[in-house]
Amino acid sequence: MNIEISNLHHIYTGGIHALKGITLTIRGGECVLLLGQNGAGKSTLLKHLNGILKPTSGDVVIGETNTKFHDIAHLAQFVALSFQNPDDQISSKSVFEEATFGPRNLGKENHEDLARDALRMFGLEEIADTHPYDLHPSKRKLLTLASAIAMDTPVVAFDEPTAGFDLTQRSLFGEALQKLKERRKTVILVSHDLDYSLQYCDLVILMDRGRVTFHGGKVDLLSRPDLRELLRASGLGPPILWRMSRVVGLRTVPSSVEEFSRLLNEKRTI
Amino acid sequence: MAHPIITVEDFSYSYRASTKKALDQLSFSVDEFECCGIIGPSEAGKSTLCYAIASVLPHYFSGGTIEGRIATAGLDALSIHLEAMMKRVGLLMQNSEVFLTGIKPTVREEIAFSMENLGISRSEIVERIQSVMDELGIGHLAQRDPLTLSGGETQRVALASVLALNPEILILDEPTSSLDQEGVRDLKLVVRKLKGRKTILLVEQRMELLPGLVDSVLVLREGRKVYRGPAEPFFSGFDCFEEKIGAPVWTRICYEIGNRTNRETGVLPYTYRQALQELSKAH
Repeated sequence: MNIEISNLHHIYTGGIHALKGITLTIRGGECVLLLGQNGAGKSTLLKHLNGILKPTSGDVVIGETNTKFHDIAHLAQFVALSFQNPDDQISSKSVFEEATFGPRNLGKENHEDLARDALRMFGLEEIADTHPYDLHPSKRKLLTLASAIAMDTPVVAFDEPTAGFDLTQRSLFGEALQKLKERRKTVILVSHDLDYSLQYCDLVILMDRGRVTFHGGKVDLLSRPDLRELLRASGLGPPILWRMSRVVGLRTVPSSVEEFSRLLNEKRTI
Repeated sequence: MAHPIITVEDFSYSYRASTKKALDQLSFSVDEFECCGIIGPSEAGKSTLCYAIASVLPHYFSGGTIEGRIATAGLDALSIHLEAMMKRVGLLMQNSEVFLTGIKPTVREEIAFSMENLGISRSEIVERIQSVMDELGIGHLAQRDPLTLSGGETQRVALASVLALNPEILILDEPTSSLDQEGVRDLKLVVRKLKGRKTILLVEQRMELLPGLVDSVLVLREGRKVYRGPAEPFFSGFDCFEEKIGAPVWTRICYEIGNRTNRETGVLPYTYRQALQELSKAH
């Protein structure tokens, strides 16, 4: 399902001009990394996808549906959002109930299967009966990720999904992302952790103070001569993998430690 | 000669209604002015340990089971009144927005709040606000409404409120988890500034932040201590791989590509800079 955003502006009631004319297309099945400083407009943009926020001007069209004319209840069948703070979104008395809440509300008959499948991705099925507030905060966060995936919507967006995660939890989320890609879901990921998230995303959108400063392929971004300046404008430093690959003279920029090692070995044998 | 300012002895803790021990017979000490990283997988007991050292545990979590002893700045952390401990230990928790009172109209008044509560004199409060805002570079936020701050700004204001009480010990529980890269850089600068003047405990999941910043690490797993010692041998040896806590990206790269020097010496580069130097020499 495509997302078409054209000349989108958003001005908050207090007068803050958070989005200043965003125009972009995200195609069905793409996995996009959305980057920018705190305050760049990333979360504001996400909230337009399922109608939590409406454009001050411009349009957001999900598939055939212009978000202007529909409410969240209707748009939720297309877009699932998972926010940074798990305590903003958990409302049920058990882990299982929480994961079924979304798909049941969307009227999906297989809501229990969808919930079980999503919980299994994060190793939460064994604690399906536990009250969410008896869980460790990082498990509550895993639960909100699972609940978003359980909705089985064509578009899923995650805001800082791995903040505070340990290594195991980060790789669990990485595996979940792979599954979503296999299922041809459109995935939008907001993350400050470049070295981690570049492993999974194919496309990158860079934002700076309400504007898009880059939108394109990950490889295109990483091979740009002005990468440093481009990232710096968004408050980011270059990925560690990128810098190290330049030091050893790799022509292609690897997106994971494993790929780094493979590319270097290929270079050595030539 | 350094002397221990925090001493934890055979300390165990279980939360109410939990059958598992969050911390299990933990013993270690931290010297005055040491900067110690606390790391380990999720549910290792890192936050619980912070609460215990700062005396929050017995006051805010009723019904837990406590065993052992903790002495913080010469006080019994498990029985002392929280107010007395607040002057000695500053604790910054993960969600800094919960530190805001939500009723103070300006950042300046927000920072004054904890000092007013402890009965510090007006002239002293004014002086301390100025010095702590200078120290953290947040003078420009003084008249802002605390509820309109960004995540990074909120955190610096929360830290200012904690530092204004002039604690000897500063405990930062995953301070970077919701910050962008700029916020992380700022926090790192603050820690560097305070190092050598305060004893600092820094709980962190981003391993890239610790080498070169902390002097030592305490590694926890399932409530138990698995490593306690200087940071450099931990990160430049192979220990950081075995504990599955996520070695820094540069360490993983050097480990993966198996630089000959690393194989011979069994030593991986400690800091990012060292890794870059080593790689450029080898290639």
